[in-house]
Amino acid sequence: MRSAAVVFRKELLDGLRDRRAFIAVLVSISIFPIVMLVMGRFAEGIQDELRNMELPVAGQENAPALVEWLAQQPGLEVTPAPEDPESAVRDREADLVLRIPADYQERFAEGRPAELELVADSSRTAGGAKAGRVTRLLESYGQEVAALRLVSRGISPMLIRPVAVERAEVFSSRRRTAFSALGFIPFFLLMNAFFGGMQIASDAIAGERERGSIEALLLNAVPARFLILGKWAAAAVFAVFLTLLGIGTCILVLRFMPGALNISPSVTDWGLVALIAIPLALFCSAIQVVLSTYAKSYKEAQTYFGYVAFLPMIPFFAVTFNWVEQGTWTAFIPILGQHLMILNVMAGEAVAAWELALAGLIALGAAAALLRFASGLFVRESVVFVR
Amino acid sequence: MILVSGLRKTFGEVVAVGDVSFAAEDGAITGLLGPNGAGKSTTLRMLYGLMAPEAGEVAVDGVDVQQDTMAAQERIGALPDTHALYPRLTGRENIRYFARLRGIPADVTEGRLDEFVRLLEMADFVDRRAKGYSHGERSRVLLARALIHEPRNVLLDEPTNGLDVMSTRRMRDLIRELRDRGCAVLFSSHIMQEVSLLCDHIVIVAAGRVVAAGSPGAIREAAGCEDLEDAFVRLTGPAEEPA
Repeated sequence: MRSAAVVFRKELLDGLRDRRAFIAVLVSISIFPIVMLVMGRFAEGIQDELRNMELPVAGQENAPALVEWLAQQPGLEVTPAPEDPESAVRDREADLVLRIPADYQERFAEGRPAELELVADSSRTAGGAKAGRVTRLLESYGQEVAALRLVSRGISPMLIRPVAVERAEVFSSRRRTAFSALGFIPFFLLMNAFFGGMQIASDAIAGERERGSIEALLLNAVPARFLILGKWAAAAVFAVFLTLLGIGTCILVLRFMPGALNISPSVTDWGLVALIAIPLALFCSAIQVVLSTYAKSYKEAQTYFGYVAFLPMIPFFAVTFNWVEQGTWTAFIPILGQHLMILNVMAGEAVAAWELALAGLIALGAAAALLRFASGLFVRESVVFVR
Repeated sequence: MILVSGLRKTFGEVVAVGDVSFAAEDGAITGLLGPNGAGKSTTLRMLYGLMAPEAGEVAVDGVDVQQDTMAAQERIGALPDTHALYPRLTGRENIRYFARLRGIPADVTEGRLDEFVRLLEMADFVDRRAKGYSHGERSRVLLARALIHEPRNVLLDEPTNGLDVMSTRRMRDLIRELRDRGCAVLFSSHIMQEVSLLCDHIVIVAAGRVVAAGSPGAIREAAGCEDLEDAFVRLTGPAEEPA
């Protein structure tokens, strides 16, 4: 055990001196929050535009009542339309234009559907969202008029509403937020847990083989399991560090993310997230150790990591596209279980202590098995000497 | 004292070591001499327990290497042929790392380190990162690292390979000093002159077999040659270099 500690300290020092790699890791973990922030600001910008939009209307004189009704809607300003609505929208001078045809009044008076034309470009996010809002407004105007017409004929408007659908949503809004907008948090954290130790594992094991220093290392009367244990511990410390750093980044992103996701996990919640993610970081580092032991060189190890990079993505897609039903068993599958548990914590739901403990133990047990396997592999003649 | 008997190792069809037996006595320098590809490195790897022989055994101070690899390795200090250091550690840190792995107390390590720095004239570079070392600087650090636990049995795989004259001399002096302290020194080489200069006992291997063994004089006699180099050429056969 003492020798494992010696290996651990050496690999940690060696890894910290590998500046380029260290910086690459830091960059890779900060990119995601930056993307999130930019996306958040963008989404908020659209919300703002929707809340305070202009609606250019062509042919206002054809339907004064409608124009007046529109002008009364909050956050909507009716403006004069450009000369040629189509080209104005195409050239992005306007997001959309409502055109009222000359025969509007005539058809309206005859009780025939009066056509309205909305010129919009749905390939533009703002244009699509604005067109949606205007369409909904015009439909409710139509319903208002319809109701008035029925009342004037002595018919209750209720007659044309034979059923009324009321949705009782059991999926709490916090949970919905957690499962959609915040799905990135477990994904991002698990990516950190998964890749945090990669650099050290591949350099300390595959790199050791590649440089040929493994031969001298194995002459020191130290059993291979201690060497592997020390190298794994160094990788795991990095993975745990990056995971905690990831949690820190998430806290910052949530605090400063515009467009309030109305979710603010407590300190206890984040503590729970750390308790869930740390055993997984240890398990993932053990995977890196095994792959690095197989690899003949640092580059080969990196290639293998590429093959397993999709592992943390599986739960993300599985949850996003509803492939799995969350049940008791799901908590105990490494990576998937942690992903779901973190989501639950984010959704403000309780995670049973025994569930958390058992999932952690399973991850640690799997890590131990992987390390045992790697120890045997590390001293295999074909591994030590084939270069 | 290293006793080797009937070692055999094959890689697929290739017989790397066919039948090798010899002894490296305490207080003597034994040279394992042979052309490239004769099986010297493979033999040494079996001696320090990194390769398992298919037949035969190795005993270091009476400890069977196969049965108790760790105990045998504790009695061995070895310089494998890969000659690699950790580039991001300084020379001193490289040596210290192995000393700690061996469980040597820190104060003892530091004392020995200073001794090696003086003996091998490493003061100029030992606190620099190993990345920029010259061949000679690297060899000196490697040697100090292999000897930091003061092993009784020293195995050196082509220790002077690629060294300049000064470094080679320093290496020879150190090897002699180890012998004088009573160590069993075994080193491999493909250079006749070096072996004849240093060795008390020579084991000539060719194509995985011992073709001659004895003192330099005895070998000359056995081959019927006045010159040791002629003896070497005659014994190892013509152009035996499968490399």
